[in-house]
Amino acid sequence: MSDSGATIVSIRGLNKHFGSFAALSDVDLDVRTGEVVCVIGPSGAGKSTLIRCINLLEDFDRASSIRVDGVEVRRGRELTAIRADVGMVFQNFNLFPHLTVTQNITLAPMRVRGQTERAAQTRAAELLERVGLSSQVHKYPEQLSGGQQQRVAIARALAMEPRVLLFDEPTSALDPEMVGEVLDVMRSLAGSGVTMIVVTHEMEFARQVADRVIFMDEGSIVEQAKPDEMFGAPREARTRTFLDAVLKS
Amino acid sequence: MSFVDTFFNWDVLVRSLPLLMTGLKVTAQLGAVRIVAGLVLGLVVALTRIYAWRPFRLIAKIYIDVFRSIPLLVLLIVVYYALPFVGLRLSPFMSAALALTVVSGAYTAEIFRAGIEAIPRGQFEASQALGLSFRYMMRDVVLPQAIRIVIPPLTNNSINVIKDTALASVVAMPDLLKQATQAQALEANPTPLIVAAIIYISLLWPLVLLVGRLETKLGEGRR
Repeated sequence: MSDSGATIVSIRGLNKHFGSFAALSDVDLDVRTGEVVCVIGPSGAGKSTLIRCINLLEDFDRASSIRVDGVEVRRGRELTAIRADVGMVFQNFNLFPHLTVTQNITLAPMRVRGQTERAAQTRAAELLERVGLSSQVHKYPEQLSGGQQQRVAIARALAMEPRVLLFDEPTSALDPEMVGEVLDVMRSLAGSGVTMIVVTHEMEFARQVADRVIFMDEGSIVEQAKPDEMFGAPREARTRTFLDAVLKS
Repeated sequence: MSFVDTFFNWDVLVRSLPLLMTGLKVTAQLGAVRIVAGLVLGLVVALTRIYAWRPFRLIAKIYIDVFRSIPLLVLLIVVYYALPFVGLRLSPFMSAALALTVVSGAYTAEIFRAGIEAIPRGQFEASQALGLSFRYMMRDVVLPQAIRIVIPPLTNNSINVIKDTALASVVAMPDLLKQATQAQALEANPTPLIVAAIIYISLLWPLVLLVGRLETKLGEGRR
């Protein structure tokens, strides 16, 4: 968990509108290599929208700027290259149902990185071991539990060797008994130096794993701090109200 | 003359069978050309209709709407009897194949479009997030799933396609129906027509059964 890495994601003055509704207003954020940033806040705060802008799954206003490893994120020739370097894990897994677990993981490395099938399969086997699913390689997603599917999705994202890995509420669609296995995998990734931006409702995970916690509300970053400060002594009233509500339940 | 001698006359049947078989061959060829060409055309039009630059999208939409509106028989006659006036003279086979394919392409395009639009948005987003290009996203992720969804309606469409080839007999196309009417005139006996009808049924019945089975199977199976 180095916190002195170079800036990998740089967001400046990010604005995003859905019609006249401002989903994001003037968000500035820098994330350094190796850093684990957890984004918390009430639903509708713009957390998911924020990270979906980083790989342009959401368009944002023209005057805004997002750079990944110094390259401006915008429509055009370089977009697929940027996206290949930014991994994403979705709330609903979004595995490819017609492909086996291994094929789900090897597809993009072969098509985008030009890896041979053999190399991609070897790598897939390593990653599946890392997420604890070595015995499931030939199964189809529907044959796996939600927790297993999400771990495959993490392995699929890792196979591209992303510079930064985005998690969009990765445990929100899971049955409670499966949340732990996914968080364990994420915890070990964080420990191994993967740069992560995690939108989550798992406060305990954020407290333990994050280098920095960001609290968002109504499309803005209200407060950011180290987890101890954020959960121990939040500065802003809105943060306190939110944390009181979620931590009490 | 007895009922059997009139409608199921064995001698007439034996004499006219070779003619009917050449007709069946033409029907099969025409059906095959139309199904294959219609599928390719339909897929291209569907992708254009959904993803192309706006003016091309509009053109695809107009194409689909026009050729779903025009009666096939009218189009066949226009192609065969009207185009020669502007110097475009096509053989009966070409006329029939052309008319049938452009119409089939329009219907097939709508079927493909429905299939592609049934794929959840998350599949597109996951592909994009992995850095897959549009081409690979379509080829490896979206179309394999969409095609599974559209197999029953496409098979259904193919049945109509083969049935509609009979319309080509009006442009002097020597297909099964044309040969049957020819043989009937020659023999002054309707047996060849009855036999042709039986051939159509025995050709298409298995397909009809197949559609039913596919619909049940894919309905319960995985998506």
